[in-house]
Amino acid sequence: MRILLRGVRIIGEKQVDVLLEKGRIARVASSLSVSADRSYDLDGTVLLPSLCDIHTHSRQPGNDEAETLESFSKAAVHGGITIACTMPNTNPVVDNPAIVSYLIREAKRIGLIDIYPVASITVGQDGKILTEMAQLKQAGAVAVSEDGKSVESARLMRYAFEYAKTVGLLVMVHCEEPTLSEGGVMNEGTTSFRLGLRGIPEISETIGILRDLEIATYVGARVHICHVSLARSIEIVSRYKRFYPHLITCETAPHYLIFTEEDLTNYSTNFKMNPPLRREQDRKSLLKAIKSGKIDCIATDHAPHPDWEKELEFELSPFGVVGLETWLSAMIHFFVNTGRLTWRDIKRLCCDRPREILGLRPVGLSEGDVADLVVVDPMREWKVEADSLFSRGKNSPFLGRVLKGKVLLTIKAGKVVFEDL
Amino acid sequence: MSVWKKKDLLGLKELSREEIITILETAKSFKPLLFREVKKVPTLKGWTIANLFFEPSTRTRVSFELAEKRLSADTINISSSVSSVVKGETLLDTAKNLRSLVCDIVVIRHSIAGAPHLLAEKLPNVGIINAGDGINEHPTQALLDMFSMQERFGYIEGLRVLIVGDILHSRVARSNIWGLKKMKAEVSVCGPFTLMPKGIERFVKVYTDLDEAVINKDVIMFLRIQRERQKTGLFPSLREYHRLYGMTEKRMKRLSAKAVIMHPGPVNRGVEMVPVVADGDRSIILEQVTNGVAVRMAILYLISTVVRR
Repeated sequence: MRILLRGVRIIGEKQVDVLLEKGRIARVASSLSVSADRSYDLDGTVLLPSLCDIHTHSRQPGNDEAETLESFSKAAVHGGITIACTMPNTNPVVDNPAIVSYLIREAKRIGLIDIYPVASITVGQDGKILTEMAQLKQAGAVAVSEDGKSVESARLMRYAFEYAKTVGLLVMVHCEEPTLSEGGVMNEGTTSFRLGLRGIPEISETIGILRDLEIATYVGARVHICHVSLARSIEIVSRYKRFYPHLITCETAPHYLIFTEEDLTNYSTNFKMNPPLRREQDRKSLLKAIKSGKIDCIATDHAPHPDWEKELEFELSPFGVVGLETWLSAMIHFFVNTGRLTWRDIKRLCCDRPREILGLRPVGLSEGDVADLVVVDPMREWKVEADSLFSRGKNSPFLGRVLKGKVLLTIKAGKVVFEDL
Repeated sequence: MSVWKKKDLLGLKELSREEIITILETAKSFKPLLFREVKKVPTLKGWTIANLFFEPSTRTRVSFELAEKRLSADTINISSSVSSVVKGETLLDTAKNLRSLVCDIVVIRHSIAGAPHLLAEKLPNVGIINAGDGINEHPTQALLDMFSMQERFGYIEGLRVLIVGDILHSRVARSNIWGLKKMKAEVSVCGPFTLMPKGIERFVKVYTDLDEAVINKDVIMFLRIQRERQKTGLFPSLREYHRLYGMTEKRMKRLSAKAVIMHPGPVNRGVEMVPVVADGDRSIILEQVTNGVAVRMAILYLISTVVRR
């Protein structure tokens, strides 16, 4: 199968033709006159490596109401993603090699994306016994994480870091001191006072981060801090990174870069997530930190929920919003089209660094490289609506909004896995 | 009257100064009715009002019910113990049922902030009145408080109002703060930092010493302390709470000559205040109860002018 992409701008640069053959980039030239099985006229669009989302929830196994691997895969490629790490807070929990293999195998059968499962740190996420990390890794787990739960015991967390280091697995941590955040549903401060909602204090996140960074650096283990949401957290992580640059990485999610606690004014549960949306000054600091590299990458924390779970009173509805399908569009709409980020920034934050964190090589865009690609039209508008999303979860903070920037093609190993032209 | 354009009363945050004045003036015209021989007008005859109480309440529910009856409305009472809420029915299911029952106005009390807002959005043809949502707002209480202040002093602008106690968990405090500030009163709060919401100092002056706080105030409003708060470590004991934040006869001497004592009720006697204060001539606690009916009649009436069947 020969695929010809005409007139794409590689990482937003000058327009070229790209020929794909046998799963790889065969030729790149300013103008190619070759025959191809399929040829696309893509004048003015941008070619990037496909995206790698290291923090998602596929809800599988166990919760078909929220998402299936089929809908998850379709949503991912709609967002230009071909690699997704799935968190283990499922039913049953991803705590044994069989479930890890199942997820990888099922994703392969569906054939749109690769799933790199994240296994739990403790059996059943019970915070008591460590999982069989060596066998989990052998089955294909790419990291361990307790996801939304923190391992309560600092001693067990120490063992987890030590053991993960022994078998060579990355530990991804959701940092939260639960005794401080308990009962809270939004950021604590003047806005939570105004809305009459119970607050989650900043110190719940920062104390969680401090604990896990102290333990990880003490034992010399690799640690990845999930969804950093505060200016103060960036300061803390940067301070530790200065001394342990090889041990520490961190991510933030698109919603923390775009929305703030003020968006909760009408109690919309599509803005409820944990950590919560913070203040404008935090949003600005996060934006600076992704630009400077203090924050390594962006991940969506895609968390689908069925409508009947989200259409509840604010405090009763679960945390989490969907994000796979709006990730790249939102980054283009809010940051590339406004000149705040370059295409190279997008490539670094959404494609390259996420792969490096997983120990994978970044995708090259030269002749001979594997064709894991996405083509986006930065000028094309689309409206985010329940019907325009492939995910079964419609709980998007962008619902009803028009975004400028749309994925036209997603290509995995030379095969078109999503097309919208 | 023409100022009133809202189908719902969700909170005082959402109201303008003019709207508050409209409610207070309307309540003033309804109040004499409560002392007539025949305490009833046909204003809402043929209207159906559901009182939806997902949280235990006696005072507010009774006050609403009386206001509805004085206006000749048909009322149904649904409280969490008898409704299907305990059987796992969601608020939206309840809303759909109320729509099928063709209710005109729903009065809702709920333990979660924003529940009335959700109902108001899902029931576009039904008037929603918030009778208390979580720790967010209790607008009718604050309106009756302001009505009582207006009645006692003849004005609200410039009144120095001190709210004492558990501000953190109090929807009464929040509604009063939003409403009184719009009416240009000078609002301050007093309590231990553990019962103070973070960020409140952006909105009002904060005291921790009650002896200092009461000086030169016109209104001192005490909030009911929930006894179970003590168990969560927010304050060490009711005894110490009373020492620091309770109104005693000795503290009464620090009050200005015209100052009044208010409380949304029911009073924990010996905690928020000693009995002689609650029953004393400075207390307008029982006037608040009477005014509550007049204010709720006014709100029901105003909302009925917008909810056209």
